[in-house]
Amino acid sequence: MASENPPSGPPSSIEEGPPFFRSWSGAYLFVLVNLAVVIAIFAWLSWVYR
Amino acid sequence: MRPIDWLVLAGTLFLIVAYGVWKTRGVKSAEAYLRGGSDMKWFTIGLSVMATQASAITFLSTPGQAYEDGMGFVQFYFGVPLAMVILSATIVPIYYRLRVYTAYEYLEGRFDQKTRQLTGFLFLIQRGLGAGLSIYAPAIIVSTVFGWPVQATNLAIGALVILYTVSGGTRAVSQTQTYQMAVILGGMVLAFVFIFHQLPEHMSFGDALGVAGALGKMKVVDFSPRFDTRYTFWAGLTGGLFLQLAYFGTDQSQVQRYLTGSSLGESRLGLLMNGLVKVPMQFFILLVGLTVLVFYQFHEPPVFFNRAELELVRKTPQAAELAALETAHAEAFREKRQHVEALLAARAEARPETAARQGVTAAAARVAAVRKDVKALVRRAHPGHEPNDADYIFITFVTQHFPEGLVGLLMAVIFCAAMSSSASALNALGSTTVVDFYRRSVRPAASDAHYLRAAKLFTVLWGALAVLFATFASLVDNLIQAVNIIGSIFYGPTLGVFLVGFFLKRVGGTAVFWATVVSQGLVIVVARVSSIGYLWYNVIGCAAVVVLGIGLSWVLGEGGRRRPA
Repeated sequence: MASENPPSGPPSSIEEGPPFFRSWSGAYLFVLVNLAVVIAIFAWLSWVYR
Repeated sequence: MRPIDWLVLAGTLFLIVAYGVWKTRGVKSAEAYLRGGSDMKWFTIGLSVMATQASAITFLSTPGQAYEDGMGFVQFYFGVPLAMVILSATIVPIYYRLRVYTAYEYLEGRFDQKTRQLTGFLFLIQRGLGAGLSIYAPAIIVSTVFGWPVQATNLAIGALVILYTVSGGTRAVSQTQTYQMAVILGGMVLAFVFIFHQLPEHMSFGDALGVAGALGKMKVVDFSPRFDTRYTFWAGLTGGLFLQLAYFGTDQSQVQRYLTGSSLGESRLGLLMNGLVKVPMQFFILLVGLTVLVFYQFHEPPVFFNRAELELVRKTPQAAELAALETAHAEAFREKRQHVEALLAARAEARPETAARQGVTAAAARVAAVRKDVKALVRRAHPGHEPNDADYIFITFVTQHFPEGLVGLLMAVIFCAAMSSSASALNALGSTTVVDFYRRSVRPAASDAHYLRAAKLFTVLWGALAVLFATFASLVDNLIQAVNIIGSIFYGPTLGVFLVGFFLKRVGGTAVFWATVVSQGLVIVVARVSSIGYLWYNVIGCAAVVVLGIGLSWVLGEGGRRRPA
């Protein structure tokens, strides 16, 4: 078992970029925009079928 | 259950457990056992994270929740995507940089040993209770419906989980969860398709939603700023966010899932996948319950879905009163069905729906009043018995209307969900006990093989304790609610400790330790004496640790952190 909190990181760099987006900020924004769209659809459903 | 159902259930569980044991038979080091070899891809991590959160209770209770209270429960999950983004950007890189085995290891570097072990201890209490309940809750429901002995069901679920969790550790848990999620999602999609096809032929999806809307079940988002309403947009985005931050960021059963990633990027993507999929998935599960509700507008449902409880009432002096209520329920149902059919005719002919909707609303209120009287009768006939039948709604529908084979598949869904969430819990409980207590305070310099044996032993012990707790869990009222409330009571202070650690660099170990002790007591008092919705416990506990931590740090003159994070 490794010693506690060794300074070395995992095998690959922690600075790597995401595979589907230009940057992690873009990936985060995508998730947040997706949430906003989903909530907007839910609000629309609530209004249409009120 | 018919023979084909038993075959589907036993075959599915056997294949998954055997695969988990076989695939991870080469685990020979504590590192591989506790961190899963650190080579998982984002897709496996995402499914594993989702399977850990989705317990059997999710699939038994959520459709019932939609049937009783409508679609508003989905707001509970609005905090998940936000939490996934915040954790991916902040806490997960720190865990990777420090290469920790457990979340609580970080706290010793930032504060001290006592703070690490206090939060680890709080985790052991709440997750230990949670593991027992996550085995017991589905066991009691399926046992009641099928007439199985509940203790044997507890033991069967517990033994299967212990078998592959002890055999392959973290890797076995993640690998089996991938297939368990496939069974769960596939089973729920098939269930939805089947239920929808049981609706009247002329009925479209829009008509089904229209009927649900007339019954007042389509208020998906509630923007009213009320503290005493359990599920609102605001509670989901604030209290829900705190709960999800604490759960995914500081609960070892989740942290252990994404620390199996081959890189930080894979872990982040796994979490973001959860952030994208979770809310639509929960909406879909609620939609299954809503479709069951629409089905029961055309076929008379039982007046009370826990039939075993109803049969007990029939043997008491209240039997005549029950028979009268059943007659009243049948009359109210027939009247409601006429109004629902009038509503559908109005929709088909594009006529005004107002009168039909008013009729549906009034008849639904009469049905609800009869059901309320029946629940009161159940409570009166057997004081102490659970008068809430929402958890029995979906499984009653499954057993009464699903064809051969599909019943077995749905039972496999429930067992897979029970096993996936309790496996993560046992895995995390064993790991935390070894890493944060045994290795830290009891045997700090033993061999790797010794820690591997210890991790397996503690996992067996926690599994046995969970089964034992499940055996005596009937002493706890309202199990489903208990699972969520237990989590919310302990998560707030734990999240507070981590937030102070990350963002308030001048607050030291002694201040945050006592702030946590006091805040934990405060949350327990609030939970016992106030009527505040339980999601707010997370905010209160977290805020109390932050405020008290700053105050005590100033009083004690304590500042600085021992190790940069």
